[in-house]
Amino acid sequence: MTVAPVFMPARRHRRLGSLMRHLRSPVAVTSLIVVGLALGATLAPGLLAPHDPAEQSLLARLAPPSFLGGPEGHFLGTDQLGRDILSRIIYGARATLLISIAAVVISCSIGTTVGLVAGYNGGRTDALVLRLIDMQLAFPVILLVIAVVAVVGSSVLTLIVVLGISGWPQFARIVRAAVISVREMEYVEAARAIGAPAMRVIFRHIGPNVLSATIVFATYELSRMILIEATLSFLGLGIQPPTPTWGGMISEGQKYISLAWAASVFPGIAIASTILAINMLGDVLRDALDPRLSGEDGR
Amino acid sequence: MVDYVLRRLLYTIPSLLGIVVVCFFLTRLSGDPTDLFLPIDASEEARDAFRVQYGLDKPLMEQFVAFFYKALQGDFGNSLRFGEPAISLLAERLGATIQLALATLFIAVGVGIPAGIVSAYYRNSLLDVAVRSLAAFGQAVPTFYWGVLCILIFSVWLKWLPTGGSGGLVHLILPATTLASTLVALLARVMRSTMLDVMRQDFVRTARAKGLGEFTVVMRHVARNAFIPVLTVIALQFGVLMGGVIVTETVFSWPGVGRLVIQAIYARDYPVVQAVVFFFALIFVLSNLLADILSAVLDPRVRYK
Amino acid sequence: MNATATCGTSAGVDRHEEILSIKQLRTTLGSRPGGVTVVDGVDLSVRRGKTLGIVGESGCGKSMLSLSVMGLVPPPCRVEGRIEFSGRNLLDLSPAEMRRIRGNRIAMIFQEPMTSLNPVLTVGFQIVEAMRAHDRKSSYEVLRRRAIEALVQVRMPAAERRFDEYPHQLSGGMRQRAAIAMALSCKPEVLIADEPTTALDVTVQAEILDLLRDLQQETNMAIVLITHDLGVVAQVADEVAVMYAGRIAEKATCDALFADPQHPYTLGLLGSIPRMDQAATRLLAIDGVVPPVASMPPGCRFHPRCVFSGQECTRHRPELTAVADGHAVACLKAPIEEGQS
Repeated sequence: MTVAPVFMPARRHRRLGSLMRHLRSPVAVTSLIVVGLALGATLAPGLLAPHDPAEQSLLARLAPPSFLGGPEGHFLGTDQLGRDILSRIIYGARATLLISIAAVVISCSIGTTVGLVAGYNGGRTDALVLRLIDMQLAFPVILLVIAVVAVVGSSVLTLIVVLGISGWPQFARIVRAAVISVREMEYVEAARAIGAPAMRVIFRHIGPNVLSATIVFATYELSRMILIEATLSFLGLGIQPPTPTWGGMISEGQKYISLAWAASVFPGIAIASTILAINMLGDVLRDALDPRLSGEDGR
Repeated sequence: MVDYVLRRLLYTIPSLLGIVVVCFFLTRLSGDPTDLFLPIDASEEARDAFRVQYGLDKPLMEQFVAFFYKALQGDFGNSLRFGEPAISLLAERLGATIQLALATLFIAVGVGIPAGIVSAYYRNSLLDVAVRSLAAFGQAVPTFYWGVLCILIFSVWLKWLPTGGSGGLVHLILPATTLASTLVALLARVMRSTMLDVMRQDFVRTARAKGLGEFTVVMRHVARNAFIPVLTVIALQFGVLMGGVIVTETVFSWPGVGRLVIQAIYARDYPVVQAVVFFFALIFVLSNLLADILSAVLDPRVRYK
Repeated sequence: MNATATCGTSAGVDRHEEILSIKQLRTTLGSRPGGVTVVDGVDLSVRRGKTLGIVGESGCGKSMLSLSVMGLVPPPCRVEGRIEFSGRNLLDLSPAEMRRIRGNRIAMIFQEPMTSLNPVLTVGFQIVEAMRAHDRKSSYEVLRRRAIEALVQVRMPAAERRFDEYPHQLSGGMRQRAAIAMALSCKPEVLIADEPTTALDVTVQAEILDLLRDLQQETNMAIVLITHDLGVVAQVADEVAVMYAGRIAEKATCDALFADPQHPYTLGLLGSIPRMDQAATRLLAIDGVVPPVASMPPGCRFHPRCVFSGQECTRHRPELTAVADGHAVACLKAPIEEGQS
C-alpha cells in the first residue's frame, strides 16, 4: 500500500511514454487519421458532407464518381435514387459507430463488474459465473443477435442492448483472471487482516494491468461490433432506411451492381478501412501497454 | 479416453439446455406470441383458439417442458408460410448448406494452414510480411463485402462465373471463396503463432539432431503439434462461420439454410426461425465437442488423462 | 574407468585415434554488424572410446559449441574455423551431407528429457524415425526390432512395452534412457551429451552416467559431455576442458585437473564443490556472474571476477599455454602456487 503511491506514477509515465512512441509509427498515424475521420463523421456529419444524404436527383442516378467522368459535385458518384454516395457514407458512420461504441461500453461494464465480483468472491459465485461464460460462449453471437433482432425488431436501442449483452464474457474473463492473480498476494491478505477494504487494495494493484488489457481488448471488440452491425444492416436487420448505413448501402448497391459499381464498392471501403484502422490501433496499443500479450500476434 | 469423452459429453448438457431456453424465450421476448404467429388483424377468437391449440394458455413452466420435449424430437411446429413442418423445410435446404460449408472448410484449411506454416517458417521474410498483411486485411473486410466484390470482379467485369444461384461447381466457387476468406485469414494467423511457439521447443532441436530433413521436421514435428490447438480455434469459429453462411447465401442466392432463415425472418415465419436457430446452435455445440475429441485423439497427453 | 587404464598400451593407439577435432572455432549469433560471438577461438579434440568433459557456467558457450558441431546453431549465425571429423571439415559440407552425419555418426542428447521428446509421438516412432532418416532400405519390422534392442541396451524396463508408449507416460530417467536409445540407434561414433543428467534426481543421475560409461565400453564411441557440474566430470571424463565466456580457460586430463588446477576460474569452480576425500582447507567462491556476451571485458575475460588479476590481465588476452604434458592454461598469472592470493 505504502509502495503504491511512489511507484505507480512512474509506471504510468513509462506506459504513456511507450504509448506515445508507438503512436508515432506511420501505421499508427494513418490509423489514427482514419479513425479520426470516422469519429468526425459521427459527431458532425453536416460539416464534412457536401450534400444532404437524402437529397435525390432523378436526373443523375447511378452516376460514376466525378474523378471517373461522372457529374461534377458527386465525388464518389450517386446511388439508384441519385443521392450523393460520399455524403451517405459520411452520414452512415453515425449509426454504425454509435451502436458499436455503446455496445462495447455496455459489454465492458457488465464484463468488468462480473469479473471483479467473481474473481474477488471466488467459490460458488465464481463457479456460477464461469458456467455462465461457458454457456454464452457456446452460443454463436451473431446467431443470437440475428434471432433476437428478428423477433424484437431493430431499433438503435435494441441493437445496442443486444450487441452489448453479447460481448461481456470475454471482458469478464480478463478481469477475473487479473483479480485472482492479485487476490492471493500477501499484501492483499495483510490489508484484509487489518480490516482495510480489500476491494480498494485490489483496485489499486490490478488497476493499471487490467486497465491496459481491457483497453486493448475493447479496441478489438469495437471492430468486431462494427463488423456485426454492418452485417446486420446488410441483411436488412439493422437500422432501417431511410437512415443511411454502410451495410445497407452495400445491400442496395448490390442490386444495381451490373449498372454502377460505385454504390456498393465505396461504402465497403469505408467499413474495411475503419475496421482495419481500429485493429491496427489495437495492435499498437497492445504492443505499447501490454507487452506480455504481444508475444507473437496471438490474440 | 472413454472417460474424457463422457466427461466432455456431460459438459455439453448445460449448453444444450441453454440453447433450448433461448429458443423458447425467443418467441416470448415481445410479450404475446400470438402477435408473432398470427396476422396483425387476427380476431380475439382466433387468438384464443391459437393459444389453446399451442398450449399458450397453460403455465409458462408447462409450456417450456412441452417445448423442450418437442424440440428434442425436432418438432418446432409448422411453417406459417408453407404449412409444412419447419424441420422438413430445414432438411430440404440442408444439402446445399453442407455442400457450401465443406467446400469452404476445404479452401480455408487448404490455403490458411499452409500459409501459416510458410509464414512462420520464413518468419520476418517478405513472404511472411505479405501473408500477415493479407491476413490482417482479410479479417477487416466483412464477408458480405467480399461477396459483392467477387461478384463485381468475376461475374460483372470478367463474366467468368455466375452471380448466384446453384447448379454445378461453377456456382460453388464464388460463395465458397467468399465464405472462406475470413477463415483463411484467421487460420493463417493462428497457425503462424502456434507454429512459432512449437518451433521454440526442445523436441524440434532433437528432431533436427536426428538428421531428419527440414521438411520432415517442420511437417511432422512442428506443424502436426501446432495444428492441435488450431483445431479448437476452427471449431470456435464455426459460430462466426454461421453468420457468414447466412450472409453468403443471401449475397449469392444460394438455396441453403441461411437463406431460409433470412427469408423466414422477413416473412415473420417464427417456427422456421426457431428451428434454424436451434439447429445452428446445436451444430456449433457439437462441432466444439468434436474438436475437443479430435484433439484428444491427436494429443496423447489429453487422451491418457 | 577401464578406458583410462588401457590408455597407452599398444592396442590402444588405434582404438583411441582422434575422431573429432575442433580448431579455432568461432560462432557468432545474429546478423553481421550486431552479432555476438558466443564461442571465440576454441581448440578441442576427442578420441574414440574416450570422454571429453566440457565444464562451465550457463552462458559460457558450451551449448553453442556443441550445436556448432552438429550444425544446428539457430540462424542467422556464422560458424568459422575447422571441425574435423574422420578427415573432413564439417563446416565445408553441404546441408545434405551434414544431415547424413548428424544423428548417424555424430549424435546428441539434450538436457531436458521432459521436453526433448515430441509429446504427441510414441517413443518407438521417434527411435524408428531416427534410424529411418539414415536407413531407407530396412523394413519397418527390422527397424522396430532394432529400436527395441536399443531400448534394451539402455536398460529400459519393459522395453517391448515402452515402444508404444508416449513420453509423458515415462519417468524422467526413462525419458532420458529413451533419448539415449534414440541417439545410439544409428551407432554413432561421437555422442554429444548436453547436460544429460542435470534435470534428474541424484540416484537416477548416477544410473545414467553408469549407462553412458558402459555403452562407451561396448561401442568404443567418443563422448563429449557438457556440464556445469564438476562432480559429473570427475565421474566419467578422461579429459576436461573448462570454458569461460566462449573461450577455453584450462584443458587437462581429468586426473591432472583435479590434482593440480591452474586457472583461477577452475580453482573457483573446484572451491564450490564439496569434497568428501579432503578436509576443506579453503573455499574459493567466485564473485559476480559471467559478463553478458555483448559486453565482454578486454584482456582476460575473467579478470573482473579474478582474485589474482593484475594490470596486465586487463590488457592482454591470455593464450592457452602448456604448463605440463597435456595440461594447458589460459592465464597470465599461471602457474598459481598454493597459498597465493
